[in-house]
Parts: sequence; C-alpha cells; structure tokens
Amino acid sequence: MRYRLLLFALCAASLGGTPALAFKSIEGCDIVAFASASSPVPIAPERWQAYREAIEALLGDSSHDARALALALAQAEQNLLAPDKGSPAYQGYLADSCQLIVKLNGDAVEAKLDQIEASLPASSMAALRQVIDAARRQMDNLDRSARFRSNQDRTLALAAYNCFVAGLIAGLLPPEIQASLTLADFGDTVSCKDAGRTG
Amino acid sequence: MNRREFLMSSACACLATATANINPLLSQAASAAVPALPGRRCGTPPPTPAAKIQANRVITALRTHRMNFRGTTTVPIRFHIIQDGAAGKLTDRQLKSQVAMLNTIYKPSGVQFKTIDVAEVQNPAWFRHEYGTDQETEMKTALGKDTEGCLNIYTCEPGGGLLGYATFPWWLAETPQLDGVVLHHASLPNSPTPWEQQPWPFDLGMTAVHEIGHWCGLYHTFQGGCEAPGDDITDTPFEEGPAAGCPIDQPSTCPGETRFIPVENYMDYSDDACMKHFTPQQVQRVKDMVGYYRFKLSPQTSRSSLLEQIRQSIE
Repeated sequence: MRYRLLLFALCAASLGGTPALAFKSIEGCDIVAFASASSPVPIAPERWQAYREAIEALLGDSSHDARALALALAQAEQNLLAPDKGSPAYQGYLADSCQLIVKLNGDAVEAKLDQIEASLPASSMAALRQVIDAARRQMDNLDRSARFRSNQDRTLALAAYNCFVAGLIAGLLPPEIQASLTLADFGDTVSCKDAGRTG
Repeated sequence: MNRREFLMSSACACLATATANINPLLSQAASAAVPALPGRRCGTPPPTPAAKIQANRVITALRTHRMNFRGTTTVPIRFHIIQDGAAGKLTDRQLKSQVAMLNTIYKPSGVQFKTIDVAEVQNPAWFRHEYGTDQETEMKTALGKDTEGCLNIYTCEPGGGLLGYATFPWWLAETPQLDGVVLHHASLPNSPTPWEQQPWPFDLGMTAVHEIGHWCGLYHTFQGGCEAPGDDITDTPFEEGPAAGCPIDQPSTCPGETRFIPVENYMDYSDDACMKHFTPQQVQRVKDMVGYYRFKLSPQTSRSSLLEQIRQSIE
C-alpha cells in the first residue's frame, strides 16, 4: 500500500513541473556527481533513502510497460534534485565543474548491475535491465537515424539517455560504493559547457 | 579487429582478387565487432547490431543469388504538414522543389518520388514533439497511411536540436505504424521567409535527402567512428565523428585512414550547401535495401520468387 501511494505521488508529480521524458534525464549525471563523498551539493541521507525507495517501488510494480516505467523513473531523478535546483551550490556546479556522459561503457554498466543484483528482487532486477536496455536502444536508434543541427545538440541529446541510466544505477548502489563513484566510472565524459547544457 | 587491421585485411582481399565482392568480409567484420551474446545474461547488451548484421546478410545473399534490382521504383509521398497556428506552414512551391531535388539526387539509385497527398494538420503537441515520445507515436498512428506502399513525411519542429529523423527499412515489418521521415519545416528549400534562427545553413532541402537516405537503409558516414565496419560502405572513409560546416579537404582523424573527411556526402552532418553526392556503393545499397525491405514499392514482381527464396534463406 505504501508503495502504491508513493507511485501515485510520483505520477502526480510528473503531471506538475517540467515534464520528464521517457528514458531521458540529463539530471541523472548530477545525481552521480552529488552521490560522491566530495559532492559540491550535499544531499541528506534520508533523501537518498527516499530516492532509492522510490526507484525500488517503481521497479517492483509490474503494471507498467518499459516506457511508462522509464517516465516515472526519470521523474524520480528530477524529484530528488528539485529542492536544490535553484541553490547557489547547484548553480555553481553547473557553471564550473558539471560533466555529462557522452558514451556509456557497456562493461562498466554491467559490473554495476552485478553490484546491485543482490539487493533487489529478481523481478525488479529484470525490470531495471529492461529499462536500461530500452534506453540504450532508443539512444542508439536516434543516433543512427537523425540529423542534428550541431554536434553540440547531438552530444546533449545522447547524454540525456546516458545520464538517465547512470542516475538510476547510482541510486541503487550501496552507499559505500556511491561515495567513491564518478561519472567516468560509467564511460566517456564531456563538460556541460562543451555540450552546451544551459540548465 | 581494429580499424587498421580491417583496412589491411581489406587491402589484402583486394590484391588477391581484384574483382572480389567484399561484402562477406564486411559481414565477417561486423560479426567480429559484436561481442558474442550467448552466455551473456539478458539485460544490457551493446545496443545495436542485430539489424545491422541482418542487413549485411541480405546484401551478401543478394549478391550470391546475383539478384540486382533494376528499373525505377516510384515512391508515392504523403506529406503531413503539422502546424501550430501559422508556424510550420509550407508552400506548394517548397514541396515541389523538395521532391524535384529528391528525384535528381536519387535518380542513379533508381528511386523516384511522386507526391500523392498533402494534408495540413493543426496540433501544437505534435508540432513540437520529441523523438521517441508518445506524441511521436500518436502523430504517426493517427496520420500515417499505407506505410508499406508509400513514404509518409511529417514536417514539424522537432525538439532536442533535431533537423529530422527517419526509420530504417528493416524496422518496417515490426513497427509499420512508425515508418516514415520527420523533417524540420525550416529545412525545406525555397522558404518565402527566412527561418527565425540565424544563421541557418540547413534550408536547401538536404535534410530530406539525408533522412530518406536512412529510410532507404544508409547509415551516417561517421557510423561506428574509426572502428570497422563503420557505415558498412567501403567507398566512404572512416570518420571519427560528424562533420560541421564545410571543412573540405580535411584528412580523416582516424588512424591509418588516408582519405578526406566526407563532408560532401549526403549522409554526413555538414551544411546543406556542402552536400553534393552519394558514393557508388551507397547508391547500390539504396537499390538493395529498397528492393528487399520495401519490396511492395519495387517493380520487379517478375523476380519475386527469387526474392522469396533469398528471404527464406536469410530468415
């Protein structure tokens, strides 16, 4: 019942503010950066715990297809960061040290999923893999078939998928692993400035 | 196999048999580039290649059976002009110039285009839709018609910095409702008013040429970067990433690649004014992919039994 209420709250939130897009969340990269011990934007442990519970609740609800699940997960990522979005620390991070993932390392993703596997029910783990797989396929399909106005637009578009995946995984890793996590652990990175991220 | 090894093996194959068909080599290279899936758990396989390898198998089978698609394939086009008020409106002259340009450029590949329907649709959500969203699906499901027998082109203002996107021919069987090409309305030629975003070097109609290239089975020239098999085409150079602007006569940054960056190729990302050609192998691939996957458009019904035989041997 508690999970149903949480799910309802997440879905309701997604109808409010900035709409989340299935499989895409540029803020996922910020989550990875803020999870580290040297985070420029400290996030209280109870908020991390709530984020983790929200993800677990969504993954454990079998009533969603992959796209709907991804939409709710992307919203959960944005909800975690919402209280800090306008803070000077967050804005300073975006202006100075912000990074994005331009290319996911498949082996690194797989290794992190292995670290998560023991702590999730099998059905949730299967749902997680399904969402990550779908996100990567959609990104790959877009990259193969689209024409962008600039390389910067392309980088930013692809990073939104990679960051969604990284932010999701980061939320499910044990705290001691989270603390030492960097974006480079997930693949190749680029500065937000070079990618043209403005917010 | 890295890119240098691939080039070496290609060169050796060419020396051994000057007229050798290297598609089997490409297939082999493609297979080598993809980690073996058996034994790997479900979940996060590298997000690609089954379809790519399948397309290579198709080409190999077509050559083995000496199947060549001849004659002209006429593709009926249905234009769906999505608008938000006056935004997105296109003139008849723009549509006619775009189709005339397509017919000139695709003539060597035996593909010609003919407009059979133009429909204007007011829908702000579809007009500014993002790739892969419910809005895309809703738009295509509501408007798309006869995707096996024609090309549905949706003009709008897609989000995320996109000029356009397309579906590949090998997706048609699985998701026919999504088949077609989406174009930014300001990418069509002969606009009566300049696009609000300046500079805008994408208003000569090359986005349609590029996206229809995908719809006919072509990849970007920079597909796969410096790694074999790249774009599955051997007469385009390996290219590390997309070109921007029009940097003519720039050497490729890929190690061992001696050719220039293919900025004049329609399947790169250069400015419209820079784009000038397809390579002979790209032209051949368009013939093969359209003939095989979009067979309902093909005039070669007389050889359909051979095509069916090839299809069975592959699938």
